[in-house]
Amino acid sequence: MKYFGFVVCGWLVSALLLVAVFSGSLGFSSSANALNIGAWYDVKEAAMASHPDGGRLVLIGGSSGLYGVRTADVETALGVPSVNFSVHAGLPLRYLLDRAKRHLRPGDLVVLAPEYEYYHPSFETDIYVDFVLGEDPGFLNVISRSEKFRWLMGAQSDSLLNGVKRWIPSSIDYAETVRKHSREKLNTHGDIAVNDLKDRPAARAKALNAVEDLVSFRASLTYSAEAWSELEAFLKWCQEHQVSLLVAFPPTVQFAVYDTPEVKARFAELVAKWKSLGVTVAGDPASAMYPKSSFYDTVYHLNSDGMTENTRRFIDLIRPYASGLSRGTKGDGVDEN
Amino acid sequence: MLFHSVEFLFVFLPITWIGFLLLVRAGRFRSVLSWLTFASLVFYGWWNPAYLSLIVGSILVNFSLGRIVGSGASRKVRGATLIVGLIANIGALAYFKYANFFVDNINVVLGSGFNLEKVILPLAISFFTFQQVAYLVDVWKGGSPKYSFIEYSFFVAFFPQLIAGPIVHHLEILPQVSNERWKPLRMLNLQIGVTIFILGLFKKMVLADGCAEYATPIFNASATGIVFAPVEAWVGVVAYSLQLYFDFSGYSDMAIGLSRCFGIMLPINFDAPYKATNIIAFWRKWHITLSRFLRDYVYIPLGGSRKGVTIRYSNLLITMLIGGLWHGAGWNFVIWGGLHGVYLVVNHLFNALRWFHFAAGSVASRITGVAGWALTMLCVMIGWVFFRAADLTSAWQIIQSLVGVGAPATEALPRVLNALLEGPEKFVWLGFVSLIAIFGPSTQQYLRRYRPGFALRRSHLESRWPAWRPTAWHGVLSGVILFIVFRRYFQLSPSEFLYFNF
Repeated sequence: MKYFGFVVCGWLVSALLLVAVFSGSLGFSSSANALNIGAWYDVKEAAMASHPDGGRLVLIGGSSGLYGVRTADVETALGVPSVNFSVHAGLPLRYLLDRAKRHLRPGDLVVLAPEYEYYHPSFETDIYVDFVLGEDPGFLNVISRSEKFRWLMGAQSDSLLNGVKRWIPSSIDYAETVRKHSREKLNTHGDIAVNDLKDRPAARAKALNAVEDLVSFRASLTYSAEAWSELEAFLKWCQEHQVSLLVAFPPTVQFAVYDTPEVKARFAELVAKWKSLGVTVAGDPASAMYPKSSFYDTVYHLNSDGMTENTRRFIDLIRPYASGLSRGTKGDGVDEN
Repeated sequence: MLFHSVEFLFVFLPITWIGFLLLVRAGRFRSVLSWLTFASLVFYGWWNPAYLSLIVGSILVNFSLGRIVGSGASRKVRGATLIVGLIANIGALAYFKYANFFVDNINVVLGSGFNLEKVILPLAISFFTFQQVAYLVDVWKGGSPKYSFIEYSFFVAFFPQLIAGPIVHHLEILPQVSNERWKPLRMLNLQIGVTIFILGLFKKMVLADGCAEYATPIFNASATGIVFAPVEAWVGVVAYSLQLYFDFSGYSDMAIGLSRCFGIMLPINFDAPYKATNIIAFWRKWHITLSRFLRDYVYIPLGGSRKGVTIRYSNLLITMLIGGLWHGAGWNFVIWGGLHGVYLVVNHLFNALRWFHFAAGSVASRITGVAGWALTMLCVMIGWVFFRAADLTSAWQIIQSLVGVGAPATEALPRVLNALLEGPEKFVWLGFVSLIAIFGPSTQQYLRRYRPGFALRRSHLESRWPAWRPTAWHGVLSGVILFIVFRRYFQLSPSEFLYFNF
């Protein structure tokens, strides 16, 4: 039995070593994606902080919102402080909403436009893990002990090594350079400012050519109970904190398959579900679809011209609901219709 | 039930082992076999209870036929019974494994429209069929003692080797459990068994699944018509070669380790095949128990090397074609088997010519050894392309990509740059795994002091690497490896073993 005692010892020593490396990895990142997202949140949170008393229009989603709406133009057109709080669809819904909740105030109007994948069961990407460990380790306090254990045990070597690189001077320089470069990609409202076609690298254009419709590529437009539970919890939170909630749909490439009765029915199911929850739905999925020529590199990233067009549409959609914001009206997040 | 699944490790295995322990402690050795056979059938039925009737029926039929073949009946009756047994076994295998393939090809050749619903391949049928065919032939030859029904059922169904081998021979297994000196509950057996099992888990979950992350996207994309640049194609092929080796040898190690925990030794199935310096040596090291079966029950009955050079080489080709087809019903597998048949013939011809011979240990001998190894690996990897690719078109496309023929699509270029600039870790990982395969000790070399399995020559166990002993350091090392494996459970869901498909 002694031998098996040593096997257990080896296991425990390894576990202790992992805990030490994991702890050492918290709060520093050398992963470009994590640094990028961290820098973008810095810009967006600065924009939120410039109007700390609420009454703001806040767009929340993945990168479709980042590339889809120029909230600087929204602010000019509607006279309402507007912030683009959309970042990256590699972050799960739970994180997007939790991060937004930290900055939302009574009187804010949230326009929630998640990518269709957010209605699938939640997912954890390497980008997300790298980002949280390196840029927002405080989020670990939000998750349960069992989840923390899972994160600890499942952390990829790359994520752990990212943090360990904090002791390498060149990694610190690299991190600062990436952060600075990432911040420069956004305007002060948090909108992307580098999606002009004339500056687009050839590889990005080729990536756009290869995109597929959501039904083929993502298997299906399906909606999970888990995602709805997350969304309903957020709706409840909005109601409790006097934050108004509107739902919109992400701009995406128009494909012929979306006009088939089956796919139309799936989109209609989504709209109907939101309405059944008593949430105001601004527009519909079809009206947020554009030809491929309006996009930059993916099915969700509009180019500068497409962004301008979608922003105009967005302003028209939001105008009726935003009028109350300038008067300081506090919404209740429930559809009055 | 997969060996590395939670239900196997934390429910099935503990229950089975505790039952085994209680029966052994009570001195009821006959009941031990019944218990292990029952547990093995539960293990098999977990996949699909409906197919339990197939394996149970197969055991009953073969046992009964074996009794007649081995009886004192006339040679004519015994011979006819053997033929019935062979036809029944091969017929069942042919139906479940090849019926769809046969009908599809008939339709292509004749332009007909025969329709056969998809026949589901029962798990392990290729393995338990071969074991029982070998048993019947041995009984016919008079080389088999009479076993009780429980002993026979145990030999066929024993769960560590049931699903994907090693393909065990009755003379290896049953004498162990029939022996009155059988002492299954030795602590050393448990220590050896657990250590081999941990090594198998590591090979499968860390090395093989780690390589699959690079192999699978390349082969899947190739199936959709994407043409790759040479670097990408080589990454895919090298990754798959390593994945397949560590997946299957990992499974074999788990089977050997599990069996040893029950005090039963299994034959070794792999002997570091990627160290082979020629194809003949490769086939002595790769899937050893299948090679042995094909040699003893196909190649030699065909005439082997006894009827002249031409017949010998055609026998070799036929044997390898059958070996290819055994792996799957598809032209890819036929070509893979045929390729290896040709490789073997060329290798034998080359040896027969005796163009040169260098003294062992000389510089010239080392140079030819390295050249032989490189050529062998190249041939083996070309074969794996056909083995893995979805169809002949994508296999051919990958082969072309490997040599840069067929001009990769222009969009492939950024991917190559991406692989080199943003993803050097894949080259580091594949390099690391390759070093283990080429220079690392095999499991049996590591366990060489304690005879980890059958069918090993002493020379195969020589190694400069430290040998395992049940000591503190080796225990700690096993614990560290186990922890690395444990972490994989939180990173990905258990993937199937590749050889479950064959």
